[in-house]
Amino acid sequence: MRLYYIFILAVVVALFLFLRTCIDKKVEKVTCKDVVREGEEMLGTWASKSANGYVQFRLKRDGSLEYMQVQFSANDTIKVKGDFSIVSSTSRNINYFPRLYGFRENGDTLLNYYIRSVTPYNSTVSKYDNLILSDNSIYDTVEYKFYRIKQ
Amino acid sequence: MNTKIILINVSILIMLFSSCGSKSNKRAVDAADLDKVMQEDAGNAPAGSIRSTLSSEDLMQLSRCEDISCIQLFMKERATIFFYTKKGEYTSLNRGMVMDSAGKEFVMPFSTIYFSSEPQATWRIAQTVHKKDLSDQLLNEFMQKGFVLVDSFRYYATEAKCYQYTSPQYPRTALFYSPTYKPWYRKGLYMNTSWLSYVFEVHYE
Repeated sequence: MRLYYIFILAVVVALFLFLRTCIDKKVEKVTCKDVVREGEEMLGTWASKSANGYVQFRLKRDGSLEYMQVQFSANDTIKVKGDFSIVSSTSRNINYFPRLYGFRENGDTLLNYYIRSVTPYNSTVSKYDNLILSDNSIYDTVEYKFYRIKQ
Repeated sequence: MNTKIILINVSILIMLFSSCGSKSNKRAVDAADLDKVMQEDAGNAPAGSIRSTLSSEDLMQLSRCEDISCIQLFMKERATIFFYTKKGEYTSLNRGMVMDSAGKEFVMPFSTIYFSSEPQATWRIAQTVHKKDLSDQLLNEFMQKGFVLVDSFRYYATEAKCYQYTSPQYPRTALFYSPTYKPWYRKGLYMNTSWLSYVFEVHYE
């Protein structure tokens, strides 16, 4: 009897998650905003600004990418559409972070960075979500910090 | 029957509410406020050590030490720049990319301080700097204190050419500067050295 109740509970939870995902997708389609859930923290719009320019990219659930770069000195804006993929380390070496690849529609590489960290879904430490990318997987070297942007 | 309908409605409402609310999305920044948030974040970041090496003044003071306890006491006051690695070794807190002669990049402390701690060793204390710009900066500090080149010779300790500098403002003090691939052979960082290091050794006699 107990197994039966556990089974019912599992079915209810699975149904809830399935329906929630369906509703999330509908909400995303209607509002054009990414609904970020646990384990999907990478999704959404990220941006960073410096004295030279502004970089913003949006990672969508369907694997597509929207990239925008504004160069202040030239007052020039570049908008690119493409795809992205996140590749985990093939070896189980914890010294290597997962990698974010972004490609233009013509297949050219747009982004190729290690994901040093991303704010976890349930974080109570950070006031703002941020994503830290770096050229290499070596701790204590140059890193690029991006902030989650309201859509 | 009514209870069932209420339950279904409530679950649909819960799903709808949970669908709209995402904890991550609540921590998003307005694009217009990005400047302010980045500045605030940078302000909250812990300040790193300003220096990556001991100053020329520090090295001259250190050269007057006659025993290990004196060095340890001196370095304890500079714990914000250097940390104690092991007996005879201190390492700068500032680390970064150092390129070797083959163009390979290493992440390592920008400078280290070694002293002979073995009882039978000849007394020696030196600071090794691993970046040329930092080495030039430190050498300039000595130059500004009136240090001028007086001699050069092949130095047994670094197995390289060594340049001796003295200053009339600091009598009995001599700086020995030596760019080398063997600063402290087979010790600490230098098990397999492939990058050029700059050894600063100040003697007080």
